[in-house]
Amino acid sequence: MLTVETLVTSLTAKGTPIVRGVSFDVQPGQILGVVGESGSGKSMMAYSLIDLLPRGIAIAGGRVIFDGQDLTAMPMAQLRRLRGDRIAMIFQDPMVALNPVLTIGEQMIEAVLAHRRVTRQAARARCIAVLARVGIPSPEERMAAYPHEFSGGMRQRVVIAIAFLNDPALIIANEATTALDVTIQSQIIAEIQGLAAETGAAILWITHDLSLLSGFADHVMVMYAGQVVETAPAERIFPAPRHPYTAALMEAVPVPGRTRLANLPGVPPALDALPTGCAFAPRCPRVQPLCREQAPPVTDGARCHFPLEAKP
Amino acid sequence: MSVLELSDIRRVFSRNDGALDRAMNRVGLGRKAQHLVAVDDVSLRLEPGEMLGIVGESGCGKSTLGRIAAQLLPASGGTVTWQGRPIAQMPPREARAARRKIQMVFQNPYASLNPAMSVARTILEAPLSHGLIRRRDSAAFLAQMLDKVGLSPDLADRRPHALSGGQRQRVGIARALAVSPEVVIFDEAVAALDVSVQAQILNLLVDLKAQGGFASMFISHDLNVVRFISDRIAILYLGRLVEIADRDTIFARAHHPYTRALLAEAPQLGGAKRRFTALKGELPSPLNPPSGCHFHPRCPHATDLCRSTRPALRDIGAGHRSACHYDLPQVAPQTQGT
Repeated sequence: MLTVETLVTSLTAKGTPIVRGVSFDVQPGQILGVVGESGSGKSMMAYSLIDLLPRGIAIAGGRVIFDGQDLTAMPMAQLRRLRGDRIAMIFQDPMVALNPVLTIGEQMIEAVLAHRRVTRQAARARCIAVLARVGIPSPEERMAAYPHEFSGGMRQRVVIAIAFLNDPALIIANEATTALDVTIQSQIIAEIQGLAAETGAAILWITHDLSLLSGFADHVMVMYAGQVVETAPAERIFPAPRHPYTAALMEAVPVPGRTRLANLPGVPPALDALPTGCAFAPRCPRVQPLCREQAPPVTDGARCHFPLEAKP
Repeated sequence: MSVLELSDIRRVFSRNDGALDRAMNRVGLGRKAQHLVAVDDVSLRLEPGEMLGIVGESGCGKSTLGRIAAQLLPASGGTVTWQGRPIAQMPPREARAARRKIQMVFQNPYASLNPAMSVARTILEAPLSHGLIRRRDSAAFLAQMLDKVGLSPDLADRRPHALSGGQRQRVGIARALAVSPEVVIFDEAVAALDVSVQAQILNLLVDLKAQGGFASMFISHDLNVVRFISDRIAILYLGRLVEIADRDTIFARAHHPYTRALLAEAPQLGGAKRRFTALKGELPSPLNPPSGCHFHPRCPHATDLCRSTRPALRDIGAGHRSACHYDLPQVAPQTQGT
């Protein structure tokens, strides 16, 4: 349903690539988790898909095929009609997504009317139904409330309600629960899981939290220095990561019984000063001379010359 | 003897009324006074050498409690006792000395380091001004501190902007340790760091703890991190201590329904795919907390007693204390998925 082919996104001034040839696809109803540390390019990759890139950053190559059309070649007006309709977005901070001077009802009804030829009455009914679906108590009264009158968790529910309003085929969520408390995070994930199952929407879930993905994603894609370094179904990647970076990330997470965490030395490379060969080589515990000379091929989902053996 | 003891610590934040409010109050037209009880009669002891984890969600008062313990914020009520003596009753000189023995490491090392000060000055300033080291020994002392927190000596002349997030947090830790504290309070000290850097800092804290010399409070919203690092764990909810026990007891035999909910909801690496089923309800506003047990609106087991009466923090054996009226049966430990 969404197919991304060798997407490259660069800083326009210097031509430095920050997303370096990312390819993947997402199927209807699938939850694809994208994980990476700061600067891995995961957010810029997501913003590239729907051309929400900040000034000074632009797509430099590749294709983004959605419903048979290449979004990178689409006129802005047409892409704008897709956003908020067939493709919805959820960001970390709901206050950025919501207009503080409009009531929730006003902005939700507007979101329906912008994409659907229905009466105001019908749009309103749809909004109330979706608010109820995401667990907002007394949705009819809450339609008249302003964003600041909601708690953080409730606000993020409203954003999710808006995302699902027009039955999107694809939802892009960037750190959508990162700012929330753990009990509230679980509520939000439960809603997303339920809605995805009901509507068949595909979900691109971007996060820095590997643990969250392990209970939630169908497929996981790990990014490092602008590239996908490993991609695999959740049931394969968690028990048996093949890329040393994925393995190190997992060993860096405190889990019960662990008394020592992986010490991954150093920091990710600056994207304008990438090492020759594998970008992870300077930090890799399994590095060989070849890694510093040649960019590694992708085998069995891992971009590595010497991937870890699959566990029996 | 405990190093640090907090007894019935209470902290109330009130709206600061302006002149108009005061005038209106006098004629009976004022706004209703609003009080936020951030910390509600919390008692804790910190034993020598231990690391006590303080866990809770936003608004539970964990940072306020940490600041009161570090003497950065006065309590509205209760006593902070330093090695058997209430700090409030000490002569000023001794109180100052006690305060110096309690240091704090903050979440955002960029905000808590002076951007104009080099690493060397940041670390040396306090021990020099307190006369803990002589100026001519400062180079050797600096080298020793940098080594202790795993920083290269080459970084001594750098300013914070020229350091990575992990290096900054190491400087924050070195600054705290430079005055030989007996208590260090870590307030979300790894929360802003990427997972690989967080791991480096957590490993460092394990090493420093093993070297001994200080007891610590480790304040965090992340149960997995607290489980990794702490000897004992205290759980706060809306300003109240709801449960405290040694680490393994908390994870094996959590007593309070809120603790159990937290344990069930914390994402677990390697857990199988599951349907998230969440604790109902929102975190209530601390400005308007529920009656009785603050947790009752979200508790699956709440009764009329819970709605009307605040449960006492009671001893349920071997240093395990919980503020629930009931002894709910233990459910089998949650193994998520299969």
